[in-house]
Amino acid sequence: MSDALLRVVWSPGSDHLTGVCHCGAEYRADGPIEVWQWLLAHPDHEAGIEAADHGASTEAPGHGASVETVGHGASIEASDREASVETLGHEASPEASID
Amino acid sequence: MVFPRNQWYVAAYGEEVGDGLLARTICGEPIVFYRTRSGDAVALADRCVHRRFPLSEGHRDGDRLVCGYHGFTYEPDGSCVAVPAQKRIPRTARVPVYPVVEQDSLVWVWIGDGDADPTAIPRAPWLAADGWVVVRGMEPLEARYELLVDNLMDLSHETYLHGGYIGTPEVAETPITTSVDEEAGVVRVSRRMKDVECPPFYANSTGIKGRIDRWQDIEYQPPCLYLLHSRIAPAGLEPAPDGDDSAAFHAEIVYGITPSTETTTFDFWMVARDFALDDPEVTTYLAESNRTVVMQDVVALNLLEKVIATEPEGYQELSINIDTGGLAARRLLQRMTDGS
Repeated sequence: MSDALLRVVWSPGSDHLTGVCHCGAEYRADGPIEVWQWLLAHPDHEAGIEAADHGASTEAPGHGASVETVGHGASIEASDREASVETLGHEASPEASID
Repeated sequence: MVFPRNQWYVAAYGEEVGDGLLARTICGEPIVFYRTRSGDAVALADRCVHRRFPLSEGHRDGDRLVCGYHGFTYEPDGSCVAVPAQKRIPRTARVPVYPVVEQDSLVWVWIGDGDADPTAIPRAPWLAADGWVVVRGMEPLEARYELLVDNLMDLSHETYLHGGYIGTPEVAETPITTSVDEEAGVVRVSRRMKDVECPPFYANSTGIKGRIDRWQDIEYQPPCLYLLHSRIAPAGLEPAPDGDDSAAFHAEIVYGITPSTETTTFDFWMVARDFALDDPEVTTYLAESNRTVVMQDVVALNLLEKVIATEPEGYQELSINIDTGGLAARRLLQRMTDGS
């Protein structure tokens, strides 16, 4: 994959989005704000996320501990992330609106 | 006024720039366009250096522009060569010149101060290539350009706003794949529909009677150029293994999204097709139908602009999966604006 390509797949039949970073790490999110936050955090993704129905977690290349979030234990709060995402949309930062 | 600067923008169609004086405000900058006798498009600041009178309200003297207020006369390079009733021309008597490039039948203008690299202009070759027929128009929007970007990056709105033309239930129901090339600064959104209803826009133009496979592959090169690679084929017809897809119908939907002011936009829309090339009825049908679709968007976006103007500070939007591409586009635009 390109060194600069970030991809989001909306899986058929699912309400979830799967973010695929150019480093190979993947993350399953419940919405677009969340998935872009995670992708833009590279290389500081807090976790690689495996599909919930796969059970075991896996470690993403070059990243820290993997965490299952979808329907399982730990979840990552957007506010905990370091990446700046204020331009993603009004939800993330009202002051960065398109005005 | 904040726009992405140091960028190329579509200012006009080639045929709009001619012997007359065309006034267009691009990214808040009033510009007058005309074509010299040798055929070159020229863009000058549309303000006389003397008392601000719009040069577009003056007249031409050969390749020169004469201000309609006091007669200040300018060369295509912006230098003033005549002022009334005196021989000395002040050293500062000059209007800014904008770099202009004509490519793919479009007149691009550079807004900014940096290096106006013509190779940075994104391409839309179908607009001037053999084997394609183009219909197009331009609608002024009373809305900020970001609203048009939002609109075009999420085509699920076709189902609701453009039913009976290009919208069918499957558009809003089909998942999308979004990608961002951070280096190239391109957002792509792909929606591949299999065995779906053929909307009238394509049924009437291609002649397909039954169900179709319909691909919508968006390629947005912010800030200005939006491409929708549209593939229409009878259901089940895939491209050949060698890539030959000549049995399918292709339409290249192109938009030039050009900010005029903070709350107005030039909506350049184009439809290039590789089928029914010699059928004027299809040409007329697509031109009329697409303009109808564009005007449906214009009405909606103009309404949105009014809503925004009256909403309380800090209004919070809600984004869902369909907005994945639109959010990516917003981020790239913000990055460009910040970098300006």
